[in-house]
Amino acid sequence: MTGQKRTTKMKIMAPFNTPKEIGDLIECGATELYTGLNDEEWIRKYPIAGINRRVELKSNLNSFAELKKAVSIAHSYKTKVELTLNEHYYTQAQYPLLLDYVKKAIDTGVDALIVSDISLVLMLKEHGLVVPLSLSTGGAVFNSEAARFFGKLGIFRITIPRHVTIAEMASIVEKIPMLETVVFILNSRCANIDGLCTFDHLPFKCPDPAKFLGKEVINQYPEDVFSKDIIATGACMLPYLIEVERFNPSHNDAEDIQKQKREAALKRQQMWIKHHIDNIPCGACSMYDLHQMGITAVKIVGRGYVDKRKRGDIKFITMLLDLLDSGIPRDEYMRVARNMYMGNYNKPCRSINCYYPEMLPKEYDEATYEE
Amino acid sequence: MKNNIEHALYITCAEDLKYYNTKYSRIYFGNEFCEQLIPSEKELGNVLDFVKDNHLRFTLLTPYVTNTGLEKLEILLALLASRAEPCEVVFNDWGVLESISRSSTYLQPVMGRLLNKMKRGPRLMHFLDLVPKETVDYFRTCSLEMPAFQEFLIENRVRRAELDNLLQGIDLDLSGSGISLSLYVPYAYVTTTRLCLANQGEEPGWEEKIGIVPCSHECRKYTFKLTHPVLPVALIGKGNTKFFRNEKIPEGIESQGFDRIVFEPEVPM
Repeated sequence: MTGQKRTTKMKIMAPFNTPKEIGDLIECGATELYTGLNDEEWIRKYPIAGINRRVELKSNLNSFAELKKAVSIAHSYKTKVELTLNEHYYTQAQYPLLLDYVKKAIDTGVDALIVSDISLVLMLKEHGLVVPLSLSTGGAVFNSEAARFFGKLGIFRITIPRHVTIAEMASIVEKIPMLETVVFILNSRCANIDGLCTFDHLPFKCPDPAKFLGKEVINQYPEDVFSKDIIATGACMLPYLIEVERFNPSHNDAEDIQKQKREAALKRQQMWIKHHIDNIPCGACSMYDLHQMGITAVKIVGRGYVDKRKRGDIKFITMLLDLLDSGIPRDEYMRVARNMYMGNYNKPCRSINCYYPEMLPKEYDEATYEE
Repeated sequence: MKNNIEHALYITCAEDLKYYNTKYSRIYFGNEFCEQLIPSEKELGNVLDFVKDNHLRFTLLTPYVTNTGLEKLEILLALLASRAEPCEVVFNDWGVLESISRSSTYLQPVMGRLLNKMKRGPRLMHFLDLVPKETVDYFRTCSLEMPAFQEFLIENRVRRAELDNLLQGIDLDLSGSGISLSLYVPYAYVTTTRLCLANQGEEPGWEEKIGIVPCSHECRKYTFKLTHPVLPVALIGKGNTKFFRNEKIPEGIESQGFDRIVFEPEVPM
């Protein structure tokens, strides 16, 4: 990181899903807002293929009237609103509805759309629908050339994906000074790369697996396999039965070492069955470095969370950005940030819920805590 | 299979050239999922020698990459360009397309399967009889059918796109579009990560840890099978990626614009 002091503060992008919470979120420190909007006709035709990446009803606004009201409130606080239209792809049949949706969205005064699909970007241009476009993690930008590629398409802002180290991020950002950059900072650290993941997100639960799958199927599996809802649980975190299908051991290893390694490797594969990706993952201690490298905004995930949680998350990040502003040295900032995370969420920092685990001193994973 | 379908052999290491037979007119080599598995110049050179000796055509497979990975790829692109012979490069990262475009017109870019975002999660199969036809149609096609996207690809010299053999079937007609399609059989990718669980997977103390760290290619040692009653087919986990197997090639794919089958004798990691 260069030693040059940056003078502008990073923005805090915060989620909302009702107009009435906007004032509170901004009072807590949100400087930009984002949301999604369900369309009735879309849900009727595509009940399990969302118009954006959050298919649950509670994570979205329900009408353009609501969106217009929300934008008006946000603008009264001089705060911008971005609308997510970030599903990974849309098809020809969806475009009449989609283009109408975009026109209505533009009419509400939204400040930008968050997009993933290149076809959508091209279609908006073809139809003369002019609105600033921000790239979602769906764009899977892992290098500066990819960022420039999207910049040439008219994208003004890139959300750098999860699964990028601080050093890699700095390498991207320094080469794209013409683009704004956003990184996730709190909540939902997906096990897989969002932009390259083709698992389904389903908006409902399965209260009766036996009825859904049939008793003959259920009876073939141990009970643990049904410990999580078989539909509502992300497919990345289902309690799979995992076995080693093929093992090519190193011939340099003695048999007992081979066995030990194989057992460790198999145990590690259980990671996402045991640990939930939404167990308050955080990257706040790295905000010193993010700030220094010139990241425009940090983004809190949480469309669909209860109001109290959203406000608490924003306040946590705001306090830390204020601390950065005070000129605190890097190491002290990081220590204080980790302590504040523990104080705020009653959870220790561990690599399993850290956005930038390479930044976490190993003693954090090795420490035992009463949880 | 009709005679106008090309057959290609997909390998990730030179050892897998053992699967070659004269049915294949093209070799695919490289890695699509991890920059730590990008082949060395020497490895690429060895495979290119085989390609030349057997009068075959060649396609280099490339993954999504960081700036470091892009530098590694640019060395390989330069090597291919120096041969001054046409060959293909499958890109799974739009940044790699930029590099190919600056490199040489001998390198023909091919849009990789990771950039075609069709849903592949096997759990979906339970719902195809329960949702409206519009939703089923959505899951069987993708943005490749959009004329605006086809024009964009062609403007960028992309005249081929790679597809996985989806369980729900593919209802995509690119015949006459100027873009040809390849079908990968039998391993379809579902999801991939940089938080690889094979990386450091054998190390004591790493059972509950993750990170993006240099690896010892532990993925080459292990293949895992993941089953759950809600998935009609098992997932195969190798390294940082999950796959499923679908060996059944749909009927009539030539009429949709498919003119190549890419055969993966091993899990493609």
